[in-house]
Amino acid sequence: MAPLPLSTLKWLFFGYAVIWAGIVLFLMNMGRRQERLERQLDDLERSLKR
Amino acid sequence: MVRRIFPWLLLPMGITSLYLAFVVAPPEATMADRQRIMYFHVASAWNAYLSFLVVFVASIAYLRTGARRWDRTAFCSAELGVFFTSIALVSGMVWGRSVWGKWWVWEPRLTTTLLLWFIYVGYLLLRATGEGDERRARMAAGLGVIGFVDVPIVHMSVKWWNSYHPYVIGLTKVDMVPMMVVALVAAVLTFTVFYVYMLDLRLHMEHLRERTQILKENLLQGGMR
Amino acid sequence: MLAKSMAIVWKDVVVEFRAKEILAAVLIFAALVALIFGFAFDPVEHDLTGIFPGLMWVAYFFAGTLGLNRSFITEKQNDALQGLVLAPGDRSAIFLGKFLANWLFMTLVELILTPVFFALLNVSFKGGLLLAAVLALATVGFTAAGTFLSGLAANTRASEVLLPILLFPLLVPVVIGAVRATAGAMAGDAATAVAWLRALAAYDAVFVVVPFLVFEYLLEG
Repeated sequence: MAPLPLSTLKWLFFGYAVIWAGIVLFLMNMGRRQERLERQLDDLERSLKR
Repeated sequence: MVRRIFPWLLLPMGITSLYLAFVVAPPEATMADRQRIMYFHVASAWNAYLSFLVVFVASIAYLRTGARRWDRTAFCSAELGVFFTSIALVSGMVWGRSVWGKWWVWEPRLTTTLLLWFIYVGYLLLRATGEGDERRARMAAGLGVIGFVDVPIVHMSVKWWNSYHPYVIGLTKVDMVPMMVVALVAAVLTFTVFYVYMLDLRLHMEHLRERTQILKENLLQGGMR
Repeated sequence: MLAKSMAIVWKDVVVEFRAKEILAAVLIFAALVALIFGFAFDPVEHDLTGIFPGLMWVAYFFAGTLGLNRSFITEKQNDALQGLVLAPGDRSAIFLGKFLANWLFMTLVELILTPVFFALLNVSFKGGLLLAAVLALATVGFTAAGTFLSGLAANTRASEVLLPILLFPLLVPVVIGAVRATAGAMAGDAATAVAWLRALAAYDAVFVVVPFLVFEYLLEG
């Protein structure tokens, strides 16, 4: 099998890089949502104690 | 801490290792560009083994201390381990198809990985159907210990079993030039950081779930009174 | 501690002797599998010698799993397991006792059925003492791993489905070792048989010692 031309490889790299960025951003967003949830839980627990 | 910093680390790390794997690393002499799948296949397999090692250590720690934190760690790591094992298996099969012409070969590493997948899917099933929080945690820890201890034995026996076959497919040796090694190390590093980040996220989520559960129970009890 | 284990072995033997439910079921199931294999692989048309070790062990492992399933379930009725835990002596003794009882039952099943397998599948009996050693060692590994996992699975809602799923991946070395050693013994290839017997012995050692150590922590409270 002949090696792929460099331009094809660059496009492949570019495609995967976009997918990767999407994954990381998705997880970051999830982390942010978790922190919001944590704050809500803190509030609820405090109000229940009273 | 991990949750704040790691994504900013992961973004450039991932892009760098992709660039190394696809653009900088030269095509392999005989396999050409098909060999590029190896970088992320090996990294996934590494993560899978790392996850199951964490399950093993956390299981022992749980049995010794009884701290819920360890049980949570074992559970979350097992989930991630199954996830990465699946990736390693699928990419391994694609590799096998393109290099050996077969979707599956009974090669020791591939076969051991498949068995790992079964063992830890069983582990997750045990957790899903177990009764009593604490009892379930202890039973799962028992499996977490024995499951990992079994791995080298499985590997050895499959290897030995395979050596009896005359048609053993010689592991196509990859001639690694230095740039390939660099790309491989980068991919493994990125995946390791990725694992730590995902484990942290998942642990936090599980922790929140447990807190919500307790809160719910308290509310229900209050309502019944 | 050994006294506690032996008491459990004795109890299981007496219960089995009176009720005869597990042993009979395992025996009949394994024999039925032999019959099904006969129809499926046709010993009249084909010489089954080559695949005979595999057929025999598949039947034993599948049938044995039925028996292992009951091992701890019966103890859960009437909270008998709680009683065993509270009885004086190590909790690991429970594992040892249960494992020895299961090994005894399974070996008995194999002793009765191995000649039947040879006869039903039209394979001439070979192997002798080596075959006996393979049966003994492979059954240690099978029942040790099986007893431990049966103890784990007994605490779930789906224990009878779960046990084979948990057990078979861990059992792969025994499957390979038992089949290869049996084939070696039948072919008169003592070197191969002994090599695989050694592998089986190593597996046995690990799967008796590790559950024995872990069991102490599993049954707390």
